[in-house]
Amino acid sequence: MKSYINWVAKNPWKVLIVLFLITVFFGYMMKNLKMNPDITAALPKSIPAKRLYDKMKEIFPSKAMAIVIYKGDVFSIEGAKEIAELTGKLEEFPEAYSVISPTNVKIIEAPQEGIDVEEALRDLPETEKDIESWKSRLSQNPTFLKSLIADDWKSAAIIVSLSKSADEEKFSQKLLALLDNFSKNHKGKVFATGEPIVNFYISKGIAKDMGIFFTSGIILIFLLLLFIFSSVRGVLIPLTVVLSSVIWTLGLMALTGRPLSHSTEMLPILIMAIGIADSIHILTHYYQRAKLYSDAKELVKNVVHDLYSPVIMTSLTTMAGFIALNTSHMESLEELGLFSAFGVLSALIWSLSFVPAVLSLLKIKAGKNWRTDKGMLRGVMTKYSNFLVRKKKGVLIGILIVLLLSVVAVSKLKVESSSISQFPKKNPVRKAAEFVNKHFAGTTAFYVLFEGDKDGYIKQPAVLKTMDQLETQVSKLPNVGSTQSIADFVKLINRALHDNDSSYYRIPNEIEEEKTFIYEGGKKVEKTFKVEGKKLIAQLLQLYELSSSPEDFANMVDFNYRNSRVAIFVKTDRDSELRKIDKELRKFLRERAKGIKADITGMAKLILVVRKMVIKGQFLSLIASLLLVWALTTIMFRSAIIGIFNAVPLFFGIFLNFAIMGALGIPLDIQTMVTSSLAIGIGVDYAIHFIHRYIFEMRTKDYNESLTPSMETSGVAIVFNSLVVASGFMLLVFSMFKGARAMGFLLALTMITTAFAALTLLPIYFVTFKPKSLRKAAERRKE
Amino acid sequence: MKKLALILTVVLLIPLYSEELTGRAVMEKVVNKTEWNDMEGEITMKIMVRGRTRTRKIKLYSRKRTEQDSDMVMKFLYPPDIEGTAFLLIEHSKGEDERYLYLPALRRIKRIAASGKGGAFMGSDFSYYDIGKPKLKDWKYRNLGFVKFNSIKCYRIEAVPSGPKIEKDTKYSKIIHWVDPNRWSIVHAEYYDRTATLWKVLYVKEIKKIEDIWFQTDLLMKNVLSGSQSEMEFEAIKINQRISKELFTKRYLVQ
Repeated sequence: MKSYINWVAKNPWKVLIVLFLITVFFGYMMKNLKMNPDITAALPKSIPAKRLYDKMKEIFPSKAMAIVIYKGDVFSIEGAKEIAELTGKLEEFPEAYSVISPTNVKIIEAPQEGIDVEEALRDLPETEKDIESWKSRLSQNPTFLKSLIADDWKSAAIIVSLSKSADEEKFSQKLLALLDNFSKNHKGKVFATGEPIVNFYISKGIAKDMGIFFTSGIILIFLLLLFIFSSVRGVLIPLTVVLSSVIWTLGLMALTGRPLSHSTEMLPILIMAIGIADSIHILTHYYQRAKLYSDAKELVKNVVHDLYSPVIMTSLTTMAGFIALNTSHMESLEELGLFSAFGVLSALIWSLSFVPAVLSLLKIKAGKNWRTDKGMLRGVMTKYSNFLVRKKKGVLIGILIVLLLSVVAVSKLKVESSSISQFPKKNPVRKAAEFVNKHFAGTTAFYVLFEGDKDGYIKQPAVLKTMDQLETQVSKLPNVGSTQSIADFVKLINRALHDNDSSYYRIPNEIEEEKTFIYEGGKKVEKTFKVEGKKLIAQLLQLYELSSSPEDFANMVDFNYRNSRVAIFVKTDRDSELRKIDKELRKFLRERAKGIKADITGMAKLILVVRKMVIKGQFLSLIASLLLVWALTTIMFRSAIIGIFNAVPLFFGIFLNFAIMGALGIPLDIQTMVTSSLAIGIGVDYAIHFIHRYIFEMRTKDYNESLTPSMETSGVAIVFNSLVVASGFMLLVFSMFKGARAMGFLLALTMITTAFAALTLLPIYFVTFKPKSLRKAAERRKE
Repeated sequence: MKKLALILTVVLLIPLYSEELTGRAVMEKVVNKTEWNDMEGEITMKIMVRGRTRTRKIKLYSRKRTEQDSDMVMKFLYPPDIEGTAFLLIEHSKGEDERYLYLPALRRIKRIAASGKGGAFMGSDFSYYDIGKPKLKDWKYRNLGFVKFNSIKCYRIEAVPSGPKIEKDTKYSKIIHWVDPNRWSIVHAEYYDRTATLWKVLYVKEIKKIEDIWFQTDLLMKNVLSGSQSEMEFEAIKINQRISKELFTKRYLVQ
């Protein structure tokens, strides 16, 4: 390593040119960076619900749907015309597979001895009577009514199902532009929600966040460096290091085709906050020794020779903590772990190549007053270490009380999340979604997929009855807005075929008794006969298909009637509510769908699976990162006990993190779970620095005497560093998304609590119990 | 019957090599050269969607009732669960067509309201319009000149809807027909949707001469947007069998 540093000092230009070229390359790659707001894409295929979800996308022609709301005087001549006009415009979108609106939804009617399947609004209305007839026609299709007409009849929804090949982002953009324009020129106000629209807003939010993070990060670092060093090189060198590290990381993401997601959008902040430390560290020592050297190259060599080992060590432990995120099996989190580790590695490379290279090119310049500010902090730390020694019992009792309170708070921790409430309350897509959830069937859906083993399987009375009962059962639950399946249509057609007799609003039995009239000797005689339900169902579906189009069923059943699905629309995406519905569905399938292959999927189910997986996975990764950190520090200090000392402040910090979440009602979700794993990687540095210094002091001093000098040197650095990193993370509160804001706050908090633990719990333990392992380590150091 | 007449586009074998023909004139020859009073045959319809095939077999009877109007009966032979269902169509050039379906499971006949011509015919990629005889006044035709198609010199005829209602009904913004002037039969066609994107392509796989009349006996319609395709094969075509007019009544459907 030393010879490498010497080589860098000798060949600064070569180093700078290589770094410059690599950075240009990665910077150029960044233009390919994509965004992926879809949480399901990251799910491993091994999960049954995900396999079903993919299969469902294969079977049915459309994958996502947008809901367009028309708010205005729906049941007026003008309103009807406007809705019909809007429906027509939406039908023109090439991305639209089907458009179902209150004007064009198919209504089944049974005139004398016939069947009539036609759009609800056959012709544009001209009189109030036309409106009344439209209203009464709509009421005949209860399956769609709740999805298309608000509970107060004051707004209407148009459901646009997108074809599989549709570019959802492009579609959303065009749709929102159309709606904007429409609202301006019409009486009714229109807006949209649904998965593609929500994803579009998430992408927009991520892009906006990235911009904010970048600029606020640069401003914060600039101010901070100006404050510390008040020199051009003191500002520009560390800034170049972190910005280049961010460019390398984002460039690598683009190069490997990884998209920016909810999770990875925080990478720039993370890398800036962590990556800045090493170059500050090196510059500080550079200025400290500046007066002692006349040759810049010699000065640089001297400084970096002394510092490379802690710099590499802390970077490695941080990387290890990040890589441990891999255990969660969620692609986007694995990516966050891997790429933030790469970011730390980039910062390490830059700190140990760019910084010495530039400094060896520049003339030596001594710093002016950079030390005095720290001098004050030093005084505080001296007093603090004396205080700790004197009042160690009091401090310990205080900490114990905090821990006890924390246990209470941790028990209040909730697992809860909702994607839509990630958006600010005023965000249009959140407002639209909340409106739909309040007045219509809901925006989130469970699907129960029925998989048959042969064509025509779905036409069996037993299967259709199971679907029908499932719908009845689940409709009783709160938050279930509506249910839809082919079974509803079979019931409607069955009734229509039996002259609108409402006792036939049901699935035909295995064997049905039907009536017919025959003429016997000129007399009309009623005769009954038996028919297989399966045949009856097949024929009434055929009648419908000839009257209208089998396309009407395309999103409910595949065209060979082998697979089918029941849609269950839910008025919320809070997982506590979704879990209740999921439980009921599972119970139904277990108890009442014996012998029928049916399983639950849909976005609602995936949301549950993702969250469960992440939370379980994150507990594992927490343990993994603690173990990794322990193993690494054990090797570093060549003592398993000292390894444990390193882990103690982390335990404390994470425990407190969960306690504060419980106390403040911040729920456990994907983002807040990740916080602790990230915090381990970063927070471990504080313990390492402190223990390292303490052992260094122990070479010549006893346990008590070593404390104050350790506090005055590394204690000051730790306080300073944790404040810097914490303020960096606080920038995440500028995010559009609630989760990222919570994450920023919690990360900042955890930095401070781990630093506090490293500078409180460890000293008290050391001076009280005087662990032999430290003495041994000090002896080893002397040699 | 005008619906099915087009599938069975029938033309006398009188080659007319006039390049001066207008698009309309060409289409008139295609549409109006039928020389039969009744016909029967069997249709096998195969619909292929996402690697799966649905097959339906139909026995078809058709007759000309008047100069403009035809009657048609389709009896479903396959699959078994709809065997015995029978469809009757009685055309009325003035006023609405009558459509009936007999359901053996109910032993009842149901009248079906007419739906848009753009609707899929039995769930296939053929719409009701595609299998029917076009009303020439609904379209504006343009002769795009001769072009070689499968080494046959063909007319290319462009058809655009004469008004927005036709466009909405058929869902087509444009159709290009390739017409073989030897047989006056359409040998190929392209259908464009309302955004002017190529939507469906018709491949005429077989044209057979039955009693001096050229019939398209194997038609394949490929939906290039969805990837699905449908094929209609005609077998056992017989014409002018003097089919009893009793066959084209509701009463006969039941039998």
